[in-house]
Amino acid sequence: MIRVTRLGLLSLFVLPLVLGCSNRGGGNGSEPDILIVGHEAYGSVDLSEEPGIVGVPNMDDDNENGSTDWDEEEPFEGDDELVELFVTTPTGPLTESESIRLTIGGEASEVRVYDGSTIVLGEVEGPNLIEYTFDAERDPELPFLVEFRSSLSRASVRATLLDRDDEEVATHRVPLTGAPFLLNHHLQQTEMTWVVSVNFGSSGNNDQMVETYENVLGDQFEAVYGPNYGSDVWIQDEFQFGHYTAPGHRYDLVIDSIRDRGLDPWAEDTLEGDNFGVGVWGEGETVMSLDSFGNLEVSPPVTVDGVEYPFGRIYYGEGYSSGRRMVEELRDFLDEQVVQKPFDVDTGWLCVGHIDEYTTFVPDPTAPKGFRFVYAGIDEAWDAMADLDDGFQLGMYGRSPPYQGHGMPTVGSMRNNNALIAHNEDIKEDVLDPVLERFKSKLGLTEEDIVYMPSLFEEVTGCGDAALIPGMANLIVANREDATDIFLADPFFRSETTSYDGQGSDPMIAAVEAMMPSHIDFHFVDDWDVYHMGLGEVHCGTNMTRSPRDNWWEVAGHLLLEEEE
Amino acid sequence: MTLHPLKTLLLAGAMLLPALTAQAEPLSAEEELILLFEMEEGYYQARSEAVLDESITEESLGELALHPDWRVRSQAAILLSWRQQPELASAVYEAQSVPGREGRIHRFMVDAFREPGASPAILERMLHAPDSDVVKAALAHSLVGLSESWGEDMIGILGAARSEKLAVAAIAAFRWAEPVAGLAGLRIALERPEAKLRETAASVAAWRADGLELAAELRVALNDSDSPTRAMAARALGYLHDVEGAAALLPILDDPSADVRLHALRSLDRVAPELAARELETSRLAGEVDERVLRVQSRIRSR
Repeated sequence: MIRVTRLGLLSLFVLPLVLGCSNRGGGNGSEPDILIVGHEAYGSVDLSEEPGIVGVPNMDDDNENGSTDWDEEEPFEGDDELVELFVTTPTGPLTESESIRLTIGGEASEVRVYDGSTIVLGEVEGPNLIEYTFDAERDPELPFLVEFRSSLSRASVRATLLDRDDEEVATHRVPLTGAPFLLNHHLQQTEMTWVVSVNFGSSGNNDQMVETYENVLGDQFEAVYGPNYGSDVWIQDEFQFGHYTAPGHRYDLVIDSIRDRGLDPWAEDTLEGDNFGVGVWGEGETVMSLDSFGNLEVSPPVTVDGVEYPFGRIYYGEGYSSGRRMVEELRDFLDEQVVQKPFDVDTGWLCVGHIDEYTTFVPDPTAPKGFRFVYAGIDEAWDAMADLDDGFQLGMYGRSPPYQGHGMPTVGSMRNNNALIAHNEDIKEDVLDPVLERFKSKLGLTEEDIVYMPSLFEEVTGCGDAALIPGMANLIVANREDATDIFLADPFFRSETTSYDGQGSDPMIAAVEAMMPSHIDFHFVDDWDVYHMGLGEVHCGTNMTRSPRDNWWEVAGHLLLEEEE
Repeated sequence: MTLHPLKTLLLAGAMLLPALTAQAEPLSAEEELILLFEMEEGYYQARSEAVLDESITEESLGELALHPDWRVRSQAAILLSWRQQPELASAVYEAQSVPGREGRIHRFMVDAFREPGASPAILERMLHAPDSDVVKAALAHSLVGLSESWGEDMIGILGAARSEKLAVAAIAAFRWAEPVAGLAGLRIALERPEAKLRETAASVAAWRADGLELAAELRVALNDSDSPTRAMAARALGYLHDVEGAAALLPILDDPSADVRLHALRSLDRVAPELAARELETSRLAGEVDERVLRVQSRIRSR
């Protein structure tokens, strides 16, 4: 009997192996016969759902040989953008008669799958490799490596378990998605802040502003020595920071504007390196003011018509009737970033034409959506000065136009200026009210979400409009673990002409602090000479890197499906 | 009969000799200054020589700096500037402008440009140096408020400007000039053949507290062949609250240009709101398609 039993046991295990039979077809009923898995950070996420296995585009130069890593066509030590992909057979190891066929679908030229150092699927010189088959000789512990060419590369890999007759036993398909390029919004934590330090002698300097940043942010702030970069102070305009993330990976990219003024080499000088790249979209010959990145912003997370945008939405200014537009290559790139689906608004009425001149967002944990939308408020400006006498002195505003002041030495000279009143009425009717409706529609905002920043605009002859009261909506938010600080222009609505004097009695400052979230520390800095009279303000003169939030592959996959629809 | 060649030569010489030996009338000091002022090629060489020419005394230059002809007094001031404050003049000449956030608008953020004595050197550089139009516009605006006569200088600059951008900069500056120069400058600009200059003048007029003094000219500009000029004239009459000019706005309420229609209706509403409301009920204003005009119409009707 024993001999029969042993023969029986043997027949259970050995005979199937010899004859090619298996425990497939469900095994114990709860495990798949074949399963593609990725990095442990995915946890229990079903990778067959979009976006599947994700990776950061391999656009850097980890081996510093002057060539983009994607162009190397072979993995190398230190190339840290490759992601692991395992093909497993949970119901048992491959038998001698079984094999697994991998096939690639979608944008095959946008990805590569390596087995060791060999490309087995995807882009190669010549026709893409579409299919790869392996058998039990391959060590199942070894991962395949997946490489992505660019942002939102969209492909898929299907693993099919085949029996001895090459018939399909089981199959599993997983999307492969290159990480989207995510721009930062004002609710993210601050990492580092920069301002260009300049001194133009009696014509002005930004010492007080730099000093304030240093005192508040400490080692999260660095002053850039202006003379090294042509005293180009508009650091917000030259660079836009963003990042790509995937499980265990982060790659920072700064978009270098085609604006190409004094600051142009700063990113390459200071930041470019391992896992930090610089990208340019468009040609300098076509540059317009709208190609600067004060004109490119991101909302906090919003829900619009039932669709969640966990990383917010990109918005930028278009010239509409003025004919000015952001360069097409960059607009196209941004339009591809469906996770932060962009929209445009009218900035053609402004001389500079940047969206940050009249809109922004600030964090507010007490707000229904966790933030407030800050929008230029004409009525609020007049209200803020309503209790002041006509003779109330405005030291800065009375200085000589057009480069030092506005020729309005008193509140009366502003409040009784018929052209100024009429002009701002027109701006509100023609632009501010309709554009606000567009923001509400595109971001799912209500009046409850909005705070109106006291703002008045003045015409720059032959150019368009610009802030008369230093544009306080043009602010920068610094979030740190224990604090939120906002840096914005000192409105100088008083006789004093330095930011060290009189802020405590400035009615415009009082109005702003009264309407804004109470947990925020406000720093009204002197930007008058260097920025305000140069048609910009604090946000224009500051740039900041921020920490990524959340894992886009867990919370934003539905947006990739929306795009497909 | 033909003359012997030698005899022809002698005869010609005899006829020309008086002309060749006669002395040319010397130029007056004013004429020399105008000649220098209007010189293009060779200006800097000639100016340097004039600065060094001791026969041109500082006393005479001082008197000529008060001459009624702007070109004379400007050139005299320039020569005085190089003689008396050569370091300041050099600093002005060598200064680099700083682009604002809008790259086509520059400023000079240099100590020298805040010195009242810098005006002549700034003017010279603006008229003669091979700077771009953007820099020349910045130079023009640097003159605002720098001297008592800057408004008059701006009228002269408008006349002498060789580029539209510089002329526009001069017209823009009239916004802040004292009344005589400011209003005179805008009147001159409203009569210029270049449409852009007329448009600019109409837009600037709206911002002057005494702009109503230009009401007659602005009403004429409502019929300008250039639509942006018509639009800015219509806007100005509203900003300036030209009540007496309300009727002049009526014909352009259905102008082919939406900008003109917008500003005309809005201005009419500002100066004669009841008339504006009545006009909206006429058939010629039905069928408006411009969103901005429709918003204004809706606002007026909802009152």
